[in-house]
Amino acid sequence: MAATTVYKEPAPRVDTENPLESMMSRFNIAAEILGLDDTTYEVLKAPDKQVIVHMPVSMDDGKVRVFEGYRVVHNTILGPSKGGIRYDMHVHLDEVKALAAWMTWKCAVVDIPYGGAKGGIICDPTTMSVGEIERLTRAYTVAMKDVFGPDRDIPAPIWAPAPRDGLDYGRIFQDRGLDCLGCRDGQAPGNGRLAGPHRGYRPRRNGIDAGRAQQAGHEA
Amino acid sequence: MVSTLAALNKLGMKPEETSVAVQGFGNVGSWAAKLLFDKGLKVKGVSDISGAYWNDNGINIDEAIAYKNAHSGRLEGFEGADPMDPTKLLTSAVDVIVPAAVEDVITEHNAPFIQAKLIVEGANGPTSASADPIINEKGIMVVPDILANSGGVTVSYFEWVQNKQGFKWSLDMVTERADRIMTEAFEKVYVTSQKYSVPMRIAAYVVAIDKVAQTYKYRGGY
Repeated sequence: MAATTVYKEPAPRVDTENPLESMMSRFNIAAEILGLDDTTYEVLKAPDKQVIVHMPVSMDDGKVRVFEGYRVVHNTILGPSKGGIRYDMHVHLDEVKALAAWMTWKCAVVDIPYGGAKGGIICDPTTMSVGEIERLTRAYTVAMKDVFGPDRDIPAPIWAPAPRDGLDYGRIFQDRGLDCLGCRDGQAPGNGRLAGPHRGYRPRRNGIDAGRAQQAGHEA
Repeated sequence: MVSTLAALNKLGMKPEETSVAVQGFGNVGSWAAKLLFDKGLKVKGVSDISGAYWNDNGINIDEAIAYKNAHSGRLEGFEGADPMDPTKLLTSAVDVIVPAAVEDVITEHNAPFIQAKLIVEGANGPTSASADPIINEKGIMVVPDILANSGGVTVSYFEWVQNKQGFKWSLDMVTERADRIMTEAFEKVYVTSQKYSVPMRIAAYVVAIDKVAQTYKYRGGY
């Protein structure tokens, strides 16, 4: 066996292709095969909505830091848009746009009545405390209060750094007197949660949510 | 991993005679490895943040998961497999590779060396667009990300439906319905790839875009 080299996730990117271009190149091929009309092509090639917010958050050292966050709703013709939120230093609007479109295709390919969306916050969750991440998540949810909603745009904490995110969205929506139930998924068990388990189906990464998915499986 | 089994079926490969390497041992990767292991596939290689591990006789995934859970989520030091060069995992001698970690891991640089007959994209965008032609040229079947990992959003949708109705489904109902949706979606994409003679990835986009375009047409969306 060869000597173990240091392998880091995210793995070093040999290709730094623009994810939006990468997605669009495949979209273009499929559109051509389908003979997609120009209007629909124009509608689908760009997202319906892009929201950029700046969120002041109190850090543990007493200082206030301003974070930049995005929410991109790609399309809602099939139903309310659905998509997670990435917490990463490398979050880029182009990437969020690509991932939002990706969600549209994902939902459409399995024929469920959802549109596609994606969110992102430029931050390094590995250097932040749970409290800081929680305050940032709340700030983001408040900033996006006019975007999110169980029948409009449903966040899912796909790249969430803390297992409490699903809970936080639910709670913040409740605080605001909004119907939060439909916005909650992927949250910790024992919270009046009605939903089914994610066992083996949840596209989470880096094991962050593995424990929660397993718990959910046991709970059902 | 319903789609993996469906793909093996199309390729005429028997699960018990199939070997697999899984890149990423987080939620997607470890569950993929576990489900494939349970179906009798030989999981020869796995990798995580700590490195890659290989066992020519197959890794016992139950033991690997138990080890990982007891060692802060990492496989480092796991005795059921030998350490290997992580950059060689995806080009190792296996029938199926499951990139389930991060994007852009299959590129024009390593695609020519892939030995697998099937790639199941557990992660989002693990194959860069520049690798597509190489993979197609080699005749490797790809279950693309938008199909392979759409089980997650499907089950999220089930949660939303249950929450809206105030009606809790049983685990069996969730599994059965998710499996059915995934099986039907795979079949639709496969048939589309045959119909237009295009790779599975393009076929998945064709199915998805067609669905959205048809909906606009019938609803008169603009």
